[in-house]
Amino acid sequence: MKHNTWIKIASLLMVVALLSSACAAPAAPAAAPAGESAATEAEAAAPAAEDGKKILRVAYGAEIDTLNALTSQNLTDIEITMVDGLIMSDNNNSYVPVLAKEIPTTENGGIVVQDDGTIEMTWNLHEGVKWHDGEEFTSADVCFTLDFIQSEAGQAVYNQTDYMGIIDCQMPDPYTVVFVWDKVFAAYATLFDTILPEHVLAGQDVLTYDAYNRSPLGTGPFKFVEWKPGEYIRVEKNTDYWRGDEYPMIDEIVFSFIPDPNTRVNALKAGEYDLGQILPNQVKEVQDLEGYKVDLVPANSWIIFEFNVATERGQKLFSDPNVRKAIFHAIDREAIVEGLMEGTVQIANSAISPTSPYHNPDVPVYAYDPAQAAQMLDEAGWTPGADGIREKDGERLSFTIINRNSRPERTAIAQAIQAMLKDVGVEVKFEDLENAAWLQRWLSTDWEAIIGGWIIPADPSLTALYACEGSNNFTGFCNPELDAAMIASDEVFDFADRKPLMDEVQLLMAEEGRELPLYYNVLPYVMREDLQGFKGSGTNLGSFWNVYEWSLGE
Amino acid sequence: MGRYAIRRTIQMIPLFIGISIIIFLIIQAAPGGPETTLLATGRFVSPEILAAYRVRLGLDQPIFVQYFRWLGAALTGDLGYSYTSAQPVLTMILERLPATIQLMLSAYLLAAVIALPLGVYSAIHKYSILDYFGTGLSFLGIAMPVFWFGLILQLVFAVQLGWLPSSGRETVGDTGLVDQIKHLILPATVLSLLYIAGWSRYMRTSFLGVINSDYVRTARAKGLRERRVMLVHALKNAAIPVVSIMALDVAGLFSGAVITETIFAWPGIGRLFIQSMYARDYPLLMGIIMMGSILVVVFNLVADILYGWLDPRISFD
Amino acid sequence: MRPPRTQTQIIWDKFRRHKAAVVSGIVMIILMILCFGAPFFAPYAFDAIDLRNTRQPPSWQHLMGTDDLGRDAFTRLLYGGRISLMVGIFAALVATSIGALVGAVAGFYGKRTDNVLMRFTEIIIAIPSLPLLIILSSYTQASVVIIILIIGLLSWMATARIVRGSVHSVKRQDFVMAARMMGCRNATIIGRHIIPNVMGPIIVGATLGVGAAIIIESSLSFLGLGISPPTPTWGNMLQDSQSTMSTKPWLTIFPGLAILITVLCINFLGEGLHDALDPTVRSDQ
Repeated sequence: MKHNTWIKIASLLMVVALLSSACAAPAAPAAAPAGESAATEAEAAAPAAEDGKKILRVAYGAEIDTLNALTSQNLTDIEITMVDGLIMSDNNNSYVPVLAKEIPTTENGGIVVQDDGTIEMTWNLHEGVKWHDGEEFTSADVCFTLDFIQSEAGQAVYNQTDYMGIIDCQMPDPYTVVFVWDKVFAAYATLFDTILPEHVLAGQDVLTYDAYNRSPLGTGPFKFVEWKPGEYIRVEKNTDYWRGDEYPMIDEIVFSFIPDPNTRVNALKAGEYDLGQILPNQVKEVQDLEGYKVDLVPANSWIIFEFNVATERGQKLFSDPNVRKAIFHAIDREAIVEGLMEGTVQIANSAISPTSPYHNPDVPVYAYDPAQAAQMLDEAGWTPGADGIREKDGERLSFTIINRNSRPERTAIAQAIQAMLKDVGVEVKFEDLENAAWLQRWLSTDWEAIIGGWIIPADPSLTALYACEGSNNFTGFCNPELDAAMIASDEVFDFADRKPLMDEVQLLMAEEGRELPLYYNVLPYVMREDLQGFKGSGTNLGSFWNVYEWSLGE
Repeated sequence: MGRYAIRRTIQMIPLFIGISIIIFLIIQAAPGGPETTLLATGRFVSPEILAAYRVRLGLDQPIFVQYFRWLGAALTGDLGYSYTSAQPVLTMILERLPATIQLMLSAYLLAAVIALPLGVYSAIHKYSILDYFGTGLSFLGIAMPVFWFGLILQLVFAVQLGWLPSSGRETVGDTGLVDQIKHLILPATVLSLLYIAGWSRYMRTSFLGVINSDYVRTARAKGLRERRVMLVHALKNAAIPVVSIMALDVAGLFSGAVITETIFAWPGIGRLFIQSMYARDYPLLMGIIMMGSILVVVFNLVADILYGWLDPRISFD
Repeated sequence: MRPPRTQTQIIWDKFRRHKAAVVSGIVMIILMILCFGAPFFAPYAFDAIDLRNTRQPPSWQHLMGTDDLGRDAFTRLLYGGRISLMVGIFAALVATSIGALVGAVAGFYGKRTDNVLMRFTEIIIAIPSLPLLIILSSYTQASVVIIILIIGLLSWMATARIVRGSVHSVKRQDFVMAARMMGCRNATIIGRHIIPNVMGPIIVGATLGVGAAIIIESSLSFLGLGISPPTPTWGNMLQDSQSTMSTKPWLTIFPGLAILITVLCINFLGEGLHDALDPTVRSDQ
């Protein structure tokens, strides 16, 4: 026994050591065949890595579920480098044609109303566009894509219902596709941001077909190379890109997954990446970073403070517009923007961002005025009780904001609002919920107030969010006048007709005082100073929309 | 002892079934469901689509039906498909496992190499300056939240000094071993700190206990030289409980990896867990936690067997 | 027969010898007075928001600066300490009590009892604890009591195993055999002979547990599952400040140091107590 124990312990440690090295070894050969350069040179160095290739290294926050842009629940920045659609949204909140020569309008004759009320919409496609495997892109691919989206499996496409108005897809020739719509759908240009390759996917179960979902085939400026789960996705230049030989101007892009925002900032600061998105409150951390610049991309996203009148208590507290408006006057949005958000964002007064041509600047503004707030509440019959909190008919003016653990900046805003409302005798409590729990609660409409926010496409339609029967109106509010304006705006094709209707929508919303828009969000991007051509876009399609014309270096 | 091991292995089967039932219930009882991920990016989706999604995933079925479906498939080695990526759960886990094992074992070895000598040294030189210093240093490791210390290490060694990469497992395009090791240093250090303090403390305590026990004093009285008494008699007896603790902690490293992997963008199971929890990706969650549990159970058994193997005073009954 | 006073004296003498423990004890007492007396010592209210004065560096008005909502960081540190210390101490108490009981009973009775208890322990131990904590924390809004219970109920297993192991070996020692032969009741044997003899490992486990619980609370905060704002804890102060670590280091350094010092002291204290209470450790070493 005496010496035995020692030998046993030593042999144990040996086994552990062996196991460890055995596991470390096989990791190596899986990596890219990019040459055996010494480790010392690889990081911190310029992007022009081995053999002078221009490599863009992106510190990417989201971990990707699938590379099928249609069914992914993530933003589609990575897919957009490889896959084209008929359209894309640009940095001016407009849609630009990609695989289509132009976007059909009534003006250019692409949209024709038939006698029976149906609409014929003709898309002319670019000729000579090749998929990455050399096959030609044709109208058949477009109709195939539509077929998939409209199929049962297409439920995985988040905006499937928008496509359902297309009752026929015709292919007069390989470069022309005609959609027949049963009625006018104003947001038609938001559709087909991705086209699937028919020759690859025909007859497959698109949802589970790994050969596409893990290594997509597109017509875009970059080709898929490699996906290391949890680590990175690598794409390389498509030398046969349809826009011409000069594009794309970068040889390779690597998207490295770095989920923690603070790690992302550190990695950027260490010079390990060329581009990355950070949080608004991190802007000051990287402002003076040598060799880098920061671009605050205005997002198509507005942050709101909203109430719910779907519950009985919500009705009692918030159904009087003057109470809501009084509360809005008690909130100092400038202090939130300047103090908490450090001036990185802009105060919002309407749902549509100033970067959109549909923005209406002439709407009522709820200026910070606690005295007026107090007076309005007095007039509405809510008078301070014994504890300083206002009361009316035995009901205290006290409500609960549900906070979401994945949005710390909104929880901070909620705390600011809590303090501000306390000054006018309104009590705010919190209930902090984990992300999925919060979402479920919010959907159930069983809540009193939230700090919320939406991201919308470049198309300005707000119907789903604010109409009485809107699929995502979880607030219980219903304003028939607003409904009429919104529905009317969805049923016209031309900007000139639609703009006044959207102006009215924004005006009505502000007058109703259903919610207080706090600010328009920004997406701060940090990038190397010599990254040219980045034109950040705050739409749901993201900032990589023009990645084909980005360049690195001189 | 062989029979003991076999019996314990057989006993593991009901244990695993018990664990799987508990986990299945706990996961599904958590508020929110996988359909909520459809809304996670702030896009809008109609409630009909959300409801259809649940039906498509079979979540409209009674819970016991769902469980037996899962169990039936799992017994044939099929852990189902991830809701979010439509990939087989087993494939996803196996893709991530090497990274986690690499990180865990590196941290484990690092901790053992530092903690055991430190514990012995502290015991021999009890209450000396170096005892306090070593003790203090090892305590520092457990006195700092991992996420905070990890970020500080990144700021110092990656941002300020530029010696080590801030995160990730490799530099893209660099297949060298040196590069891999450089990427391992920070996360492995952070993870090992969690154990250095505990192990060196147990080692110190255990060692002190042994050198004060009768037979060591007897040995000393018999005139054996002090050093030899300590090293031969005391060490091996002191190491017995510590080795068993260490075997248990191999499994605990899995928990530690969750935050370390997130902070260091390490492509392992821990991060996959956070993702799947966020998305309520039930099959993936089930797969990951079961895998973690199996790891714990196996190492528990190893610990028990080791304890008996190393310490002949324990008999298996 | 020694009078009990002497026994206490011996323990105290042994404890005093451990200088780091004594210093830690003093530091902890000061910290606890400051934190639990926060309403007396704190210059501001912990939720006094001042958005015109956010993220200020330390000054005479604000000893540790102000946070992202302009609240006094020193005030929040004191109030936060109150919560963090409470979570640490009570969670460790819950965990240690359960662990010691389960371990002692299993180790002493052996056979079936041992088997049942250890299988139960194994099930709980087998499910990786942090993932389990994360899932359970998503069930409901995290209050102080809930966090204490969740942490406590999920961290007793190690103690149980250590205690069981110790009891297992102590049980075979002569004095326990003797007690049993003299016809002592099992409960008496556990209480009189076994518990005091395994006090050392229990105390080591409990002290490490207090520190660990404080750290776990901060980890939950990191994941957004900690105690809800505006209630400060050291953990959520760290979480709130980590994104401005290099431009506003004071916001993260003070709560970080508070955790560091506290956990360090608690561990030293445990060391000292262990050496003092363990009958096998002699003061003449």
